[in-house]
Amino acid sequence: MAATFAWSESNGAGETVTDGILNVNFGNLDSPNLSSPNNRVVAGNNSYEKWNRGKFSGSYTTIDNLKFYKSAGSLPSNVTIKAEVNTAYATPTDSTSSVALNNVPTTEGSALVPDSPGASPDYSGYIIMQMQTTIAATPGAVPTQTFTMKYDEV
Amino acid sequence: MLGLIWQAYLKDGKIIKQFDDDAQTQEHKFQEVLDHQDNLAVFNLINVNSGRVYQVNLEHGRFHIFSPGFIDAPEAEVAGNAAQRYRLINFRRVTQNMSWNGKSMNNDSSSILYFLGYQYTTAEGKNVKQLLQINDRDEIYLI
Repeated sequence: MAATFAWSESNGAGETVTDGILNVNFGNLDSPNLSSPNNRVVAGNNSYEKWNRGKFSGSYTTIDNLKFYKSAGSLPSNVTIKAEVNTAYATPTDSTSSVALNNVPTTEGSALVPDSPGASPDYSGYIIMQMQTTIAATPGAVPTQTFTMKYDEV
Repeated sequence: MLGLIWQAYLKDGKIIKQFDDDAQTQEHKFQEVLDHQDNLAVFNLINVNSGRVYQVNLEHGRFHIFSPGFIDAPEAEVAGNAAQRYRLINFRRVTQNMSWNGKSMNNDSSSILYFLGYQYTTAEGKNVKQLLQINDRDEIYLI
């Protein structure tokens, strides 16, 4: 029991919400659960923004002290992941994001702080990310990146 | 399933257990404990696998860590002080990790740390906090 956590993604102009997504594959399509090798981001382009939230359900009294950061993995040259949290939802874009402006933090001390959910079931604040590349990015696989969400629960 | 579950003992003898069943399907929210904060005597975190009990005594401001069986009474040096009003600290810190390898990002692991302690305010207005960090392997830190 306790709280049940699931990742959620929002897409489209009317905000179609998909709970319990299976992956967050950055791609050239605004859709959840993109499958590789489709929807690849060509060097010099951006992925569509990802608008993710944590969904908390089940039994809990309080969820707070949320933190989100990249805890492991290095990105190839000319590839960055920009991030921001807690902005009101807007249709995801593959233009250079006007929301996710800073590199995703790589230490817990500098972690982004998504808004806490309210009473069960509820969502955290949005976590907005976009993969950005330059024309000099080398085609090929990206080393494994580990993203971490921490929260306190009672 | 949680590795450590709580039990709250009130001064009037009432016990509030986090779960009514071993399968952890019938849960009492921690809010029930908060509603009796001023009536709390003892609060336990119990490792469901090892049986070890992490206990904070809120009447005397002391920790007691033990396994089920015969229990010694505390000597004066560790008996605590009933002069303060101790407030419970209890929460779980959950870490959700996702790995992304350029193809997919999967929710691939999670872990839970348990925090148990108390705090009180001195006559001078200073807040004093004592806190244990515990994992489900019975490894603890104390500050």
